[in-house]
Amino acid sequence: MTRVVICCGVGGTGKTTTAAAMAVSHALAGQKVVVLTIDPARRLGDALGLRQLANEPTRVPLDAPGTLHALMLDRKGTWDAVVRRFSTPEAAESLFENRYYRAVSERLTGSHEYMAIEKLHDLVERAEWDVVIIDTPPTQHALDFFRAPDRVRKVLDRTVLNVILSPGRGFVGAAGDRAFRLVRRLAGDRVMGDIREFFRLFSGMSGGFRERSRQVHELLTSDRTSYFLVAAARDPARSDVLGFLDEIRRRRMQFSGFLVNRVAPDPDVGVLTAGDLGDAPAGIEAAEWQAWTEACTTLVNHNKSVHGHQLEAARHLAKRAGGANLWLVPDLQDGVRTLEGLTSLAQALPPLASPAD
Amino acid sequence: MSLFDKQLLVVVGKGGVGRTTATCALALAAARRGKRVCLVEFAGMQDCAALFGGRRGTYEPQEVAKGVMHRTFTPIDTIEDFGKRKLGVSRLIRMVLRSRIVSAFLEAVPGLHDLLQLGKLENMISDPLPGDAAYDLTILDAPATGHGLTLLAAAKTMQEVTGAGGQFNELSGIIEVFLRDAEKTGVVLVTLPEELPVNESLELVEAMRDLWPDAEKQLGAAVVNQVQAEQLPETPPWDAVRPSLTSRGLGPVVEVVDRAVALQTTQHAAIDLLHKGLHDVPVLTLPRIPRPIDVDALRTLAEGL
Repeated sequence: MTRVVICCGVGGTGKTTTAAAMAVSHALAGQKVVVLTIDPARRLGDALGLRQLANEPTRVPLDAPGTLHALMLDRKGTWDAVVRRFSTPEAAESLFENRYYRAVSERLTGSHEYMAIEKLHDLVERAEWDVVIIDTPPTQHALDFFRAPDRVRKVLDRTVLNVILSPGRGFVGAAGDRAFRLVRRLAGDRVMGDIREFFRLFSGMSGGFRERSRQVHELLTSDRTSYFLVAAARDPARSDVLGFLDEIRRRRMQFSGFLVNRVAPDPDVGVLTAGDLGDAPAGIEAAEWQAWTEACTTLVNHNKSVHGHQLEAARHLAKRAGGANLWLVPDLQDGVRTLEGLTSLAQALPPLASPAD
Repeated sequence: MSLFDKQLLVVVGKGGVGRTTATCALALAAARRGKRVCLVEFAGMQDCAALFGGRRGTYEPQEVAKGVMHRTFTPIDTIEDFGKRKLGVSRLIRMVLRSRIVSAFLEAVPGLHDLLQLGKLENMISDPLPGDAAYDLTILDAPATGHGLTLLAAAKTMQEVTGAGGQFNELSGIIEVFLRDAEKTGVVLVTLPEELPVNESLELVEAMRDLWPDAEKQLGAAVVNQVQAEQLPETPPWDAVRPSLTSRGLGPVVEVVDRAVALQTTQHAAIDLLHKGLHDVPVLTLPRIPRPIDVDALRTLAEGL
């Protein structure tokens, strides 16, 4: 059975890189793994051999006992694929021409999130991989991700369809008509025309769509899916990180632990005083040497204390979450440019269960 | 013209660059100059009010620091507000706007929430309601979606969708004029002193040019966050000192200093790249604070601006 790993967390904590490193680590452990990235920085995309949006997984040339595939979410392409699946070819073509559909598929709030989950479901259904790993879109708030299926479903709700397709009739009657007139006054005639056409074309596929979003919801809450929260070492317990955790727990999803990213390294030496560095060597004046030894000791001691604080904050976070698992991911200062970089990050990531689990 | 003499600053940047921190520091810095400041964010964000140590942000303004008021806009509040202004106060309209059907519809119109929230901002500034206090400067912490560009493009998006006619279309016209008035409105770009975030910021400016050909005049400033102060003597250079430490078996110290030197080099290069890419736009820096940001940290940051 394909397992699912979801890396979530607030933007800017290195979710995408961490998800990619996790995928590398699974492949090194002999598993067949695919990673779905949402918005990778160009360098990371290059490291994975992804130069553009690709709705199909591409094999990453990694020397490992397992295999690694990667793909970058193409939101529009995923929408179009969903429409083709549930619709007749003629209706699909008309939808692709519809201005409102184009706007919805490109810019509807929540559609990025929804399409990520949709693509995830697609990859799981194909049963070609032991593990599917995704990083979540850079939403500011946990709810945006978990609510995405509901939001999209709400737009395509049957009641809404009825009102928009037949104003003044149906069970909502006069109130619906009033709502319709108000919306027309606000949005204008052209939008109303586009929207009615959109919903007319869409109504044929709404049953399939609803069933699909039910399955997606089931996948997200099943015990084959585990959630990791990526947090920044500098401030791991930000209120929005904790918000994510609450959401995961409230929805009874399987929380697997924290990945605290970009932890400053611990200098491999005790607390220093300037004297520990010895006297000025030949060719350097005493005053200059003193300035350097002071700067060096300050720097080493400062780094030690930063590392200590970060460790403490991370452990505190795990404790606060009821003794959750905690992994510390080191700060590779220059960012990750290559597969080797990802491989060295992979060392710090959770040890893996066997695919037979 | 100083950044703080404008009426609205829209602070944009990718998630994780410290956009909210920069927004709060700018607000405090403006208040120190005697401005009455209103700090606005949209619901579901990091919550500036909490960062100031206050209670949760609310739609009703609350004071979070001397001279700084804070508001959180929610889509439903701004929709109601719009309904009140445009259609007159009525329980019926309130009910209709809150109904499931209408809210599902409004949810589906791309960019509408952003547009209505910008509309509320424009009202607050150009035509305050009797209950609204007047402010010298309003600062908006823009949502990270599309690195802030989605918000700036909201009016254009709406015009594409609506064509002509309807009140949303009319509103989008007003917003476009308001955002494009460089005397009143400035966009502040927040980034980090690393190659990748700077490149992404410059790409954002490029994308702004696609939206508005003369986008550069809209840029009030760029803020580089988390800049590490110089930690090492300038002379003699590290290369002259390094061999002695290595030969004395102080490898771990050398490693730490190597990292610090590399960090400085990266920072310089990134800030240079930003200057080159932005030409005449002022570049401000905020120092790195190696602990979670609280109100004291914000004050320290504001003093440097």
